[in-house]
Amino acid sequence: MFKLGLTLVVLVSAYAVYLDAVVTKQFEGKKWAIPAKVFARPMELYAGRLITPSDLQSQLKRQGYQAVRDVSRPGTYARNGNQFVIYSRGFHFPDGSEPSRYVKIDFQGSEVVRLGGRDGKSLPLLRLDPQPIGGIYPASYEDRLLIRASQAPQYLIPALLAIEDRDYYDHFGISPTSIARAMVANLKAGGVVQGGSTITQQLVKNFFLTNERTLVRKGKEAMMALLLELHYSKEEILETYLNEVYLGQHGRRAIHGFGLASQFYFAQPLQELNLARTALLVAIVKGPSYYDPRRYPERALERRNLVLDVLAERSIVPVSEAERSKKLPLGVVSRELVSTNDFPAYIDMVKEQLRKDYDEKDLTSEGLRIFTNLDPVIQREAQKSVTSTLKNLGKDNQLQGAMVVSSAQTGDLLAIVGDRNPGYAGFNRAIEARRPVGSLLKPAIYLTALERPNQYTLTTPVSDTPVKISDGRGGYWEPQNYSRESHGQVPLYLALAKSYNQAAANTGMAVGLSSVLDTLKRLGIDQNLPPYPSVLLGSPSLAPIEVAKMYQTIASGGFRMPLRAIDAVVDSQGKPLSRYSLSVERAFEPAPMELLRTALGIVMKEGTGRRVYQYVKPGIALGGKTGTTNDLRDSWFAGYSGDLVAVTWIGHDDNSPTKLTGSSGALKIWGNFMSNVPVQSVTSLDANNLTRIWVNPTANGRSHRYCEGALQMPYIKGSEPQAYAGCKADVKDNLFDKIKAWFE
Amino acid sequence: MKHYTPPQFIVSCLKKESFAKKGLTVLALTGVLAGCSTPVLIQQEDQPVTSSPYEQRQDALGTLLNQAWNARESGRLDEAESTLGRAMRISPTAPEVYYQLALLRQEQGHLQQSRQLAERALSLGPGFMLERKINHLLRTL
Repeated sequence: MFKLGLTLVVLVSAYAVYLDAVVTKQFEGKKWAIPAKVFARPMELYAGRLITPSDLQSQLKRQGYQAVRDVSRPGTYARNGNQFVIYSRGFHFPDGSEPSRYVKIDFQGSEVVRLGGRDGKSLPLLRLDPQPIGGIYPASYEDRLLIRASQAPQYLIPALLAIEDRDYYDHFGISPTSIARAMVANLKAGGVVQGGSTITQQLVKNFFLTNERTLVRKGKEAMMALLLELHYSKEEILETYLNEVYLGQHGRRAIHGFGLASQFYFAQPLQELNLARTALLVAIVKGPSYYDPRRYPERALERRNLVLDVLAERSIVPVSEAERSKKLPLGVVSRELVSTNDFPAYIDMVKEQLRKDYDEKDLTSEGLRIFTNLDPVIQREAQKSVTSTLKNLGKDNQLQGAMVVSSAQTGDLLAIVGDRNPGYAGFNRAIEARRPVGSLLKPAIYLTALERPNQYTLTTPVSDTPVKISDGRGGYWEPQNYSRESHGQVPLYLALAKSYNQAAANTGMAVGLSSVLDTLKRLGIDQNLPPYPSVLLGSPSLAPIEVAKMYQTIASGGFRMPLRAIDAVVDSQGKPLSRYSLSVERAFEPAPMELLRTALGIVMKEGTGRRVYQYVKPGIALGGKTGTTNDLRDSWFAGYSGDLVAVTWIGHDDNSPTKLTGSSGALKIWGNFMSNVPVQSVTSLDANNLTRIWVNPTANGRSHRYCEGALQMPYIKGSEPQAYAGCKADVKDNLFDKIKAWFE
Repeated sequence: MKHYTPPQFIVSCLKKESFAKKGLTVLALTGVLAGCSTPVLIQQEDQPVTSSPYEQRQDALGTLLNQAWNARESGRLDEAESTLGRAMRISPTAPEVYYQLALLRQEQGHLQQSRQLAERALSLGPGFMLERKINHLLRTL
């Protein structure tokens, strides 16, 4: 008997030593795998910033800023017509800390005109904390936002202990009194209605054990709880609990800890929670799905108020305050406002760019912080344009769309739309759908030509006449114009503006297929395109993002640059790991590029893109090109303003015809988008070897400005037409004009 | 310690002594001829060598350019880079931003990228004074 007892003691001790090792190993050092957090670019406000007051207000709401009457703490704001008062949150950016600030902002229309501090002194700019837009999760989809116990709002810990473990500071891991209390309750009820688990036991259960309910497991749990208390302080255990406790489910993503739960339910940092909201989180601990405040608001409200009553009863809060808090609504934000993977298409792109430099394991576990170039306002407008345009195009629910928006001068990727439904996290058409691009490649043909000023100018006649060329694969290639008509000799710029296929094919063959392919490469098409003549009319399949790269080079005036989704990556301590700054490479001389940009401007004014001006004010200079493929399967539009590049695509996933041309489909998304965001005019490039003269474009000769049909066109010096065509001014007039021109 | 090619060296001497500003050209030339005394070269690592031309600017872009300038001159190149990124987001067509980034790249030894950025700055229609500075940078690269 003694021997048996001894053996048992030895065995239990050995087991305890083993458990001790398990407990300490997991508790020391890194306790959790923390998924990388992804942030949008922060909103910057300054005099001159173009944004509508309502866009600012909805962005503030999305970031959990509370509208209040009296702005007195971070994370709150007030709006009075055209004036905002914002108390921003402090934030640690890769370039340093941005303090929390109290700022008055005055609008005039949709422009910020003044920023002032509390003292009335004007302030150059305000950077808000960035909106979190998602994470990079491990297979378990476990997510948390680490907090320190000191960051908990005033009532969180007292409330938690009052509800879950009132003897916390007195027991040593297990609490016989609460077990007894629970047993009595359970016996009375004839089943398990109350648990006697301490906070420490709950933590052990969550942290080390599976969810089975056996006596052995109970014993193991108790032993581990005792060991934990032996090794660690109450504060350490409590802090771990605050970060570990399971508080909700968001799709596949498990919400752990109060820090993340606060974002998940209120879109607010934990520190900012008021008493009522703190009480709701404490209420949820008991059963996050049973008390889910979104699905069962009545239950959650009832339990929240119960928590408040307990707090008042135990004099943790004054009765009056508990009563006041009980009258407040739950304050839970809608699921759409929960800013987690709101923009799955964009996050895809972020992941793709990150994988070049980081291991998947580091991304899902090291708590990295990833600062992206996503602009939440632009992204929302882009998605809205895709969704609403497709809806307006008719009853065809299978019609799909994609869109890419970048900053024209820097290549910052501002928005990606991969599906007509916002938030859809599946096939990402902006990146993955490679479709024939049709006429979108034509600018490369004419740019190749315009780089040879002794052969081609914007008004050089090109032949829009029937073509028959060996297709390089044993057959013949005989492209037709969209209208099935040939137009004979047309000025180069007009051939591009009207998107004549035969003119493009003839010009492309005249300058040489390999030269055009080289131009495409220089424009940023990395894919090796096959050397077939059909490439000239856009037979190659490209994804919208690849097209965007090509038009980026044109929009920036001939500089090739990567499209950058990521701005910087910092580690969990805020130390910068990598920065993805602008790098540029001049790929084209300014003069030929300016000629092409002039032609792409005419596309918009008079050519296939002119419908854009049904959306955008006529004074705004834009450049762009439509693309339509055989049997109207794909509808494309690619273009730029002074500050944005946007590419839009419409088609069917099964590649069936859409009955849409570039102009009747994708252009509408583009125009709709541009009309809803602040847009700047394209400005002409600075090139000292350009001259602008008045010409009669159809005759490729000089003209006088008052002649009918006269146009002022840029030419690379020395390539401008010399002879006058038709309406020639006499010498005297001409001299007078020259003198007059000196003063203009 | 940075390596100076002769023309840069002379320019930096001029800047440091800021004689030229005061119009004391003769003295400046003396400084050049004397090869700027060694102590001047030693201090240039930690202290701002030239005061920021954006010191007086009150607008958002000017404030950021000023911050970036001071960060770069004090050797906090990472901070300078982030701040220029911010300036670029606010004013993507301001040639000064690209010029500043070109100077930063030069400092980091990325001369090829510095040249490209300087050209980018030129393409955005800088004013007369800035154009001269950019062209000067391009000549030293």
